[in-house]
Amino acid sequence: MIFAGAHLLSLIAALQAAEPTYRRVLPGVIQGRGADGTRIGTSTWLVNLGASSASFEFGFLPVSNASAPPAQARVLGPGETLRLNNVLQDLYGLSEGEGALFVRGDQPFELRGVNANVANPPGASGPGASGPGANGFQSSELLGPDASGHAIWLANRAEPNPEFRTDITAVLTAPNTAVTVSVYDATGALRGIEVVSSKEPAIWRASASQFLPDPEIPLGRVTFAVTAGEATGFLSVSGSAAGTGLVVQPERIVTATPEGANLLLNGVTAATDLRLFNPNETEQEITLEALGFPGGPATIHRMTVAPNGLLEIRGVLGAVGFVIPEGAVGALRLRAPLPFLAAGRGLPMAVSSEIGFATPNQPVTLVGLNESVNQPGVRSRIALLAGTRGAIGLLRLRNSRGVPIATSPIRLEANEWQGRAIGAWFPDAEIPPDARVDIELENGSAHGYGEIVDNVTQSRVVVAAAAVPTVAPATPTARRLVFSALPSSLTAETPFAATIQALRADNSVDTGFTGSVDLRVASGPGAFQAAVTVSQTAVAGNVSFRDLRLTVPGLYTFTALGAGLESAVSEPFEVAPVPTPSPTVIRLGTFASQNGYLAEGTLQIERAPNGSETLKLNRNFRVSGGAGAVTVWLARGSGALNTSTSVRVGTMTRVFAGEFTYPIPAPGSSAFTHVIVYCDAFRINFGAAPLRNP
Amino acid sequence: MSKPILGLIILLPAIGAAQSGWTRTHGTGYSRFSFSTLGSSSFYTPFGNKISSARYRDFTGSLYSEYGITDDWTASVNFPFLRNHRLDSTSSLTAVGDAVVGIRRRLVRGKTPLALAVDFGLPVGDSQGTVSIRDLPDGTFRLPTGDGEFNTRVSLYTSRAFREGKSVVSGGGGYNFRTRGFTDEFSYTASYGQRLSRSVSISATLTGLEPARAANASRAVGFGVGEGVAFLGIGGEAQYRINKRHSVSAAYYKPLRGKNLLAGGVLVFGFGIAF
Repeated sequence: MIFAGAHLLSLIAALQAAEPTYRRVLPGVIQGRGADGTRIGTSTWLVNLGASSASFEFGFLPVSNASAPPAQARVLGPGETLRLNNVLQDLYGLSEGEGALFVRGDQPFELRGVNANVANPPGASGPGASGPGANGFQSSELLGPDASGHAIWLANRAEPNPEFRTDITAVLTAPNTAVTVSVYDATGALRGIEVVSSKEPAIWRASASQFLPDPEIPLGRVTFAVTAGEATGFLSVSGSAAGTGLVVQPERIVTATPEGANLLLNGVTAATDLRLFNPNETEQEITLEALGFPGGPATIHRMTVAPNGLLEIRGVLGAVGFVIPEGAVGALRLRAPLPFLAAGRGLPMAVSSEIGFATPNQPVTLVGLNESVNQPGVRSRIALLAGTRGAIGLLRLRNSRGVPIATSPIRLEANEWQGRAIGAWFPDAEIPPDARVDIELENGSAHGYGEIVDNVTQSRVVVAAAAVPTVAPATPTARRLVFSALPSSLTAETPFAATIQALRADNSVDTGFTGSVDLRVASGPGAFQAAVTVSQTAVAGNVSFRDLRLTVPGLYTFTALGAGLESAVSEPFEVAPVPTPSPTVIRLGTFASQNGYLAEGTLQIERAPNGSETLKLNRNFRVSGGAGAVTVWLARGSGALNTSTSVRVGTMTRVFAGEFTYPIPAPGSSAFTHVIVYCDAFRINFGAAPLRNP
Repeated sequence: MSKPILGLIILLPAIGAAQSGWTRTHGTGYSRFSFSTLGSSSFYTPFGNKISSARYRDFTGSLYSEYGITDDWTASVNFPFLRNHRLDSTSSLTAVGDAVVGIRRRLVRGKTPLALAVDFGLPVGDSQGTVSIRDLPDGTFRLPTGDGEFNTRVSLYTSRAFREGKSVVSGGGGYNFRTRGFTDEFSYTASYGQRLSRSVSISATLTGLEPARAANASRAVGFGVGEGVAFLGIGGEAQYRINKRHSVSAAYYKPLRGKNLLAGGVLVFGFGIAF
């Protein structure tokens, strides 16, 4: 049966689209009346792991045709824990309901839920008094298109009031999602399949007994294969057998490294049942190594799993031959040449290698911890398994507001396991309700998990550690600005670029710097053209100013200014004037003496780009001039100058040799054929230069 | 002796009196006031070709005197006491001209006397005279009344009278030693005089000037400095003796060819006094 939640569509769409919104899905939340008068409800703990306050929006997708209630929002301060004893009732006032809880927030957060008897008094005896608990799925754990997840703990008996029964739930978290739900038995035989699709977010749930033609599958698994959209799922295992309350989430098969596949299960006891799934087409041997158990060096045993086979080992430690002291708790490291999956009943999800371990760079946290000796009540334990290099660090106890209140040092040898009640970790502190414990390491690595134990039923809920968003290491920030690129010489009116970098104290570029930088003329005769933007925002510590122009030639320096940064002053550089376009020589001439007087040398007439013309008498020019002024004319011939048809362009009064430059009045020289040097007083030519083209 | 482009103006007025082989009798003398005028719109270029030019006008008043120190020595002086000249494109300038002081020594007596004359040119004229050019705001033009140099001319003259003194022929040549970079010059003259009556006489003169060498290029930079001047001119004069002491004359001289010389003729009126 599939139940769609159109009203949740907008929230889910936002959950998917609004980055960097963080989101989690907690499937299997419930509110209702259980057997024997118990009331089953889902308690949740939401911890704001971010550095600032954030609003968290809760949406509920019911497993029914009931309409989804309006989303609810809660604001949490940084590090604050929000505990909702009965999430559906507390948020939506629902007295009955079951479905999936979608939460989004602007800060990273951890969401944990547990289904329990919430009747008054809580913790009343009876099956399911302390039901399955789970950490919310992170968005990255959701299955996208072409992704498959395998929930390898399906146990279902066909008889009434069975020892085991399993409900299969697929949560379609995105519109237009299609997921194929396949059930296999221990041999890998397909026992049932259902293709579930919906245009809207929806929940599909089926009892294995109803869904499967042959529901007798005491050892089976379910594969959720998403072909479109996004989905997840889970198995709810329950039954008359004690300790059957179990929520099993699908896991992806991790590609083996060249060294093979490596999984670790923490919290293993003598009572731990283990399942191994070999998804390969070949049989493979899986090595089991006991870690952290007291009593000497670890021992290794091997199990062979058939192709596509599923193997369950009840009481794994004893079954395979480990000799473990009574009551001892430790871990199992599983290795195989090819990928495989493993799950332990009631254990945190198996982790690959040491991924998920706390490390110096990645603290983890356990949330929603309580410590009480009362009945009803719960107590909490924290267990750690050191990695291959041991672990040195501390546990940091925080209250529900995120305030640190105590620490406990950690010093573990390689592969050492330690598990204690939370009060034992912090003997001098009073454990606050809904506490949080961070595992912070200086060296090595450690895998940690928590256990919530019901004081009445002694049933336990495993709390997996969640990664704490790490604030980037306090890398030094920019201290000063420098000019990293600036032309050494410029020409006025020519665009140029300047690049400025924000440097740390060690002169490295602060790639995180995104502040605003102003560029100004520190000294110089001019300023930037008004149209130029001289304030820019840095990108990765670099600021580039383009299309800068200076109009006034001269010697300049620039300065770059940024808030809180030491300003930069450029080296002086010269802005050269715009080169005057070279005039074009349009006429040439050579003087010849006239009338017995000296006139010699050459001339040229130049035309500037603006059309104006200039007569230039060159350095070799010389004319008789001792008697007085000599004038220079543009004439239409070389004969006796006709002043009415000629144009006088210049006069020599004292110097009569060398270079002379005379502007030629408009319309220029084109109408004339000669340049004449002329004695105005006596009205005779001293010389003439016929004009010719270059 | 000043004889730049305007050479004939200054040179000619004294020709008839001084350029002969005779010397004045001891204790006698002769003076003449002359007024000359020249107008010219053409010009002989340094190459000798004649071209049109701005019109030049000159008016000069001169006093020429000679005196017989002895029968064989005659002293003379010529002083242009007033010169006013201008181009029609310029303003005018009025100043004195260069004076000439000379001594003449009779070397040979007889019907065909020969005399040696030494004349000293005194630069008392305005050698820096400048006029403004009317159409050229900052334009000026050198229009001097003297060449600014001392020079010495050494000449030999001879003469012969015919027909009882009614006809006279004179001729001579000289060499002008110039200073201040000006080129030396040769000069020559030949004249014929005819007494038509007791009161009237006429004469004709051929005179010339040639530089001894090629003109100094560094000095040949313009008008008025008399460098590179050459000419061959002719002239005629008529003289009327009012009485034994006084006479008047009129003469006209004109270059036939020339270089760096105004092409116009000179008209001279004179009033002579013998004593």
